[in-house]
Amino acid sequence: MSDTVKIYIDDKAYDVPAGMNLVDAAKMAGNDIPVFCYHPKMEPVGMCRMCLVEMGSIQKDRASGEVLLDDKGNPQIRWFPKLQTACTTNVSDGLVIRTNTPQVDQARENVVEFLLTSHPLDCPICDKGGECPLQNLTMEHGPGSSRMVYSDKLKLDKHVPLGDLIFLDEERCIQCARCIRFQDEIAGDDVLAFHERGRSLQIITNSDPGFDSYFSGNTADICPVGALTTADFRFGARPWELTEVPSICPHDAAGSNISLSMRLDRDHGGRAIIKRVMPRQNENVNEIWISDKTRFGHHFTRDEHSRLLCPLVRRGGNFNETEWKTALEYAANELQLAGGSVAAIAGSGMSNEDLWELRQLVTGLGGERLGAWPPTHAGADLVAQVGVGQGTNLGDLGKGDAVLIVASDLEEEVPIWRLRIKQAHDRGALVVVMNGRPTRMDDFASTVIHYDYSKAAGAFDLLQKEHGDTARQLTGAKNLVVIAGAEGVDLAGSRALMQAAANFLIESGHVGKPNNGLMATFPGANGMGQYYLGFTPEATQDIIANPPKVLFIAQADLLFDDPAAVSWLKQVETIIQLTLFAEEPVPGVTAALPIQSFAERDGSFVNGERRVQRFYTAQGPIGQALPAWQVLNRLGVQLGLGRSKLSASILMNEIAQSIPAFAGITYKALAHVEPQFPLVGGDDVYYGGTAYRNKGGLGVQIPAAADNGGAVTKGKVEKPAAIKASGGQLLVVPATRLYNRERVFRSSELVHPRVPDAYVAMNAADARKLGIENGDMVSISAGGSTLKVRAHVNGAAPQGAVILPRHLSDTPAPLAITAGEVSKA
Amino acid sequence: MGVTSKLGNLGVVTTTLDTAINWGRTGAMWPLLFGLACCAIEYMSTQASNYDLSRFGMELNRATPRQADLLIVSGRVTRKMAPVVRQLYDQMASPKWVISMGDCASCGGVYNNYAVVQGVDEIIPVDVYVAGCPPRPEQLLDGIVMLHEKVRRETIKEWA
Amino acid sequence: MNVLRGFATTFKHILEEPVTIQYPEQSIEFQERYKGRHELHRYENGLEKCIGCALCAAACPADAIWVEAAENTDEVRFSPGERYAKTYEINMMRCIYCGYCEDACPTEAIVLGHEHRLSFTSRSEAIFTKDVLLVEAPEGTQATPQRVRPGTFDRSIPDMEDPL
Repeated sequence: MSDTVKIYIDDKAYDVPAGMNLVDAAKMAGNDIPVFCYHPKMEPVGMCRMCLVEMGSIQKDRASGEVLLDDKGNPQIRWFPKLQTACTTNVSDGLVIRTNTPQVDQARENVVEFLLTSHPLDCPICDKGGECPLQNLTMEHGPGSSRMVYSDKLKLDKHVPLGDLIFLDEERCIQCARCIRFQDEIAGDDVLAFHERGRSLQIITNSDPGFDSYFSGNTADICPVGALTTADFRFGARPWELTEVPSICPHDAAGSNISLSMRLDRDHGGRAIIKRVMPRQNENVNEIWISDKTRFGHHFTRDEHSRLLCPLVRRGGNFNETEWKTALEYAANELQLAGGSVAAIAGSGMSNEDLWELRQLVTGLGGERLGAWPPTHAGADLVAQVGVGQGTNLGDLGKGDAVLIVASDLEEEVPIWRLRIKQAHDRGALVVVMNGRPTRMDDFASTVIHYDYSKAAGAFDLLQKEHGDTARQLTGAKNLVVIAGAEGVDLAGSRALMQAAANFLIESGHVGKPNNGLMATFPGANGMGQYYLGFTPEATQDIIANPPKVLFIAQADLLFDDPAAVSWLKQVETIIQLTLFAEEPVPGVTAALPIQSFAERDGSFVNGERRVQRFYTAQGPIGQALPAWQVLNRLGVQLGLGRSKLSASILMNEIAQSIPAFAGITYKALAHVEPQFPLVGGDDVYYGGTAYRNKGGLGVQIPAAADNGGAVTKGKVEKPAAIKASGGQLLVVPATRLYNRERVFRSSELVHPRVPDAYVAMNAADARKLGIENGDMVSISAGGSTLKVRAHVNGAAPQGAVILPRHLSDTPAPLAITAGEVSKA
Repeated sequence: MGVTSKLGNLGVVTTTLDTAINWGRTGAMWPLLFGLACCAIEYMSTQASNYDLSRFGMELNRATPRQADLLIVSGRVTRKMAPVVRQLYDQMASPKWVISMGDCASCGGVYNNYAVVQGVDEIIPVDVYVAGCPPRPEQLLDGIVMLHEKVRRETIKEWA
Repeated sequence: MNVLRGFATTFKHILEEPVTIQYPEQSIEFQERYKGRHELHRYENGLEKCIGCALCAAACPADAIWVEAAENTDEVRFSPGERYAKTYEINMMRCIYCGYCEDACPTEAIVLGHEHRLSFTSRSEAIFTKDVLLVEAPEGTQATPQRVRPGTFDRSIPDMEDPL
């Protein structure tokens, strides 16, 4: 092969990809060159000097290109006079290194000894102890004893909160700058820096609030010592005491692969609880990074105080705790009385298996309407048609490729996609962001197009008519990915937008290929699964318009999401709710049945790239909660619909038989793993950090209809009437915030300081007109609700519209864009 | 139970009888000649002259369960041994007592694996657990003293 | 003749003192190295030596030790360092009294004493919690948790004379 070169490591020849970093190449060849500062995902800096090797090159005759031989007939090697850092060297043909000479051993020993001069001896209490690169490399390469006087060691502050989530131990830091470089190169939130010089060098944060990044937890993973620790895991357990369970992030459409570190806990009655959430490598999905919401948003799984512990049924106005048997009999009875007028609304946190059983139950009873919640994002069918092709990897996008992000605040909606697209932008991809307001993604965009929110559904018309150059750049790109959200559009607008996006891709031929196609920022973990199993937002709208006699509400917080829900739910006779939380029951709910969270059962989600991924049982159930599929199955058996089913994997087999998209998918196929590069998660924690090796499966991507040469046709864009604000009204645009007060996130108390107080962003001109100043309390009446929130007049909103983040106050904000009154409270 | 329900509260009669019976039981509690592992070695030395179990009237190790009152499970009970231990216990005549001697018999000890019963109380009721690996003769004697105290607290009402 | 030799031996021993130790009334002196029931020790100022590092649990061949750690604050301080053992339990019935925990302990907090009376009538009795294992606070000091002046203890592990 032409793109490989021959290098010699310790007198053995290896063929490695040309231009590869020498440390990576040696790693592939099975030779571990120890490193502290180098990380395979980041640019080398050569700061720690741990990777020193003897280096030379085979001499060739300049004229003929032939290898020069010495007297004995061996190739002549010209050695560098001193040791060289391997991490700052890229492999080239004829490169010769030696890693096992006394000189190299001496150098390694000296580097370790030097690092240890100011490193404290507190391994016994250090959270990194046991998975610490410095510890391991000291054992392997370090001096056996110390020449330093222990009492003369540098004494520095050991408990510096960099933010609410990350603590710095100044003594332990070895100044490798991995955290600083991660924040700068990978996360794009350049909030960490070095301060002072020499012995006084320290990591500081230069943001307010401290360490203001949604990816801060990753720095603790890649820290080669215990200098950075997370507030969540600080002194939680020793690494060797933890049991790792592969799982999937339940919070967003990225479907980040995670590993749940479980341990029994005295404070939770001796049950196993999640001690920490760690990334699990999946180079196609989240690489080795996860967002802080994924990492710190797991506490609801253990929170006995907020979870519903046993079934509740309403009898004569009273809401009573009861047994499963009674509750199921009661619910079955109600369902029989409904006479086929049954419908269901399922939240996006339901797994495929749950949705399948819900569908079986509702259709078995003669119901037809299966609604997806929240009904904000349309066009999942289009993602199934022209979604990104099989084998897509956002990490492959680079020069010549393009990404268009439309109507989405990607950092707040799917932070991992934002991180990966930021890197694509750094590699040279064209990133175009279209939204009605400035978003964080603008910082990483080549072109930013702001449109008027009243014309949000026609964003693609605007792109083609007024920004022809950009449109041509996009269509002419080698690969094009469109990521569409639903900010500033209602459901009809979202459908129009998605259809326009699909048409745009089909027209330019960017479908049916890897790294080409449509992605959507569906809320929750299983937005695409909802579609594949027949749950649509359109059906939800229909249910709202014509409420059925009996309604299932499964893992959906209707009242907190939608101000209008109170009124239309009153028209439903019987509500059967499957819920995680012992919240105030929905008015009129007949039976509330406790279900298990993602950590308590196994199942599968379909992420925004249509990758079916499997999560595993990590802990015992809270109270009497059952998996939702089991509740529904037992209800079905009670009603004489089918037989009882024993496991989630059997349900997946059923799904695979009935739903073409899932053809061939089994739990075994989902658990398939292949070696990935870089190799992380082995004993050599120094190389890639403490992210875990993927042992739970890489998932299977469902092919889009356009894949494998499938024909797709453009659809008609039915643009709804523009939403206009008239007569002193302003457009109220609901927006998503990553940190909010949704029920799944409320138990994660350590993140609470980072959840903003309820606010509305206003334009300065509008504010002046209404006599509102920055920080005033304002009252917003829109979509049937009135909220009292603080006004932020800070340029985050365009004129004529206010940006109202959802899920920040107890009063629900409107579900979709609407016109509303804003006044000073 | 039976006695009191038939004859009513006999007051001083039963309490005196209790003392007499329990004196008899604790004075000559014959152990079964039965050892399973290393604890049995310590058990032997408890029997020997340095500690001399005959001080407690226990010098007679009966080689048949029919004549034994006390089963000292001295050592780890493997899954294969479990039915044997159970049978020995079943063959003993009431009243009978069990001392689980050492860690392995009490809870599996270091043998936390599929081959070893994780505590002999999974198969037979245990009166006294003696910790130690293996317990010194003193510790076993402590266990026996504790068992004697337990027996002395038994009353005729409970079993007759 | 042999009979007489045998009787001679018997008579010789009749006159000897009995070797029997009248346990429990009297007891032999245990060796200093004898490993009995564990004790969790304190410093002279009453703070606990245990830092909750769980190395004892890691060293334990029988998995008899359970440690859960938490962080000290100056208002609620258990040990001089950053970390203390929130939960410290030893299952005396599982412990094999090997003393590895003592060897593993970086602060000499856990020590196997000479107490050997360890018989129980139920399995749950054999789980010794931290309250049971901790020795009394020295006279004149306050039992943990203590409230201390901020900045008094700023090391993660208290400085030791000879860390080796």
